[in-house]
Amino acid sequence: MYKENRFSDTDLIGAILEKDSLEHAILQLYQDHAEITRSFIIGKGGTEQDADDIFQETIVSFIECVQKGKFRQESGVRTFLISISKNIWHNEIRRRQRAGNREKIFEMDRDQEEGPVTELINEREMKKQLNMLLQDLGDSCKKILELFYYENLSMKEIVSQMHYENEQVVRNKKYKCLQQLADKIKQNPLAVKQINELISK
Amino acid sequence: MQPNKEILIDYLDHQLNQQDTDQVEIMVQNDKSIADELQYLNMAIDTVRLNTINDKVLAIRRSLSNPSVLTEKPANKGIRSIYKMSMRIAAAFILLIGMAVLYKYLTVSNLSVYEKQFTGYDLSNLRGQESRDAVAEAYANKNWSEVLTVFQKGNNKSNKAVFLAAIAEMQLNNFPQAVALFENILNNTGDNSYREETEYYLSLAYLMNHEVNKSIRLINKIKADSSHTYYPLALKLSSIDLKIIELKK
Repeated sequence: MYKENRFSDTDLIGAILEKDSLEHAILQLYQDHAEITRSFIIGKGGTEQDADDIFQETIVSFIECVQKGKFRQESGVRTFLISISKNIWHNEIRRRQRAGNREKIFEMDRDQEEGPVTELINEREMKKQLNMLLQDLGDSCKKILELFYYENLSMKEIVSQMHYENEQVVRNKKYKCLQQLADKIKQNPLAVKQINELISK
Repeated sequence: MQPNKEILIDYLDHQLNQQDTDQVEIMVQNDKSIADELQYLNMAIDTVRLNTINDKVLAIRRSLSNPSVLTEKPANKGIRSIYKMSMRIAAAFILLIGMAVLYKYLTVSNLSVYEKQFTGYDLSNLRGQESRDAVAEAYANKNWSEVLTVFQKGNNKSNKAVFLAAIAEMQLNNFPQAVALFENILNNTGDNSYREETEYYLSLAYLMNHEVNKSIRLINKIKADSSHTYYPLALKLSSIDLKIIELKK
């Protein structure tokens, strides 16, 4: 994934959709766009660490956006990434302000034109907290859910990969893990509030 | 575990038949608690997907913790440095070769090749039983004009006399005359003596007479015959030098 083997914007979207090429796509996103978005965050008062964290979240949001078909290539990848970064940074500033961290480091010119992006970022903020709930499930639960819901492996393939007795064992485990995660979400007041906000939109 | 939760999960996994799918959708429409459960489960699935993407991005971010990697892979950079160095060496080498070729082109001429290859014919090369005649005597004394005078006045037109006269012409830088005499020897089918000597010296005479193609043909003929008396001398004549002379014509 170097100079001699680069994706065009269109090919990059295709690579994100084809999960086998996802790592290459992520690497190219870093190589091509990290510096400019990091400069933006640092220019708006963020630290180097902030810039790295925001760009990481930007990439995750972008991939999610592409995989959900929300990126229609009406703007270039770079423009879209910068727009996502702006919104994530804005939310981060607001979060810090709410937490009593009153240091005014940023006057955000929020990108009002990027409606879908703003919506996506709100979802991101919520899911970020939900990710913490996932970590609590344990490695085996996390792995089964990941293989089934992200890698799209069949029960048979999961049995083979994780050395369970049979498909029914995996199926039962998956039910249990997903329900546990859903229960954790339900028991988390902030998560519930955010879900309700989403439902009421 | 409530059975309807598993059905909801199967619904989200698209594992239900059409009848069961329709039933779930009716339940969701009519029961907010079920709709909420479905929403939580859906959020859980999204969370799994998001978390997996995040892990992948994080892994690449960590692998790129060296800032220079963001734009260039170190191993690749090393290869590039070697590549650049190789290219520089190659360029210097090509430049040197170019300079050598240019030097060669500028310094090689028919005269330089001739001076390098021409050695006066030594009369000691004459066959032992041959007695020295007037031409040979004048030749032995390196009196080139006398050689020609005696040759022109005398009746001895043997290949030996013609050959010595031709060499005398070469010594006097009269190359057209030398060529004419050498060609007489080669055309003399009744006498095969001095043919090999003639071929070698004629090739040099051609060179100085600006008949490079003829010279090259003769040289190549000698080079192709390892039993030729002048084969070792002909081998010393560089084909590249002859080509340069040809180009300069």
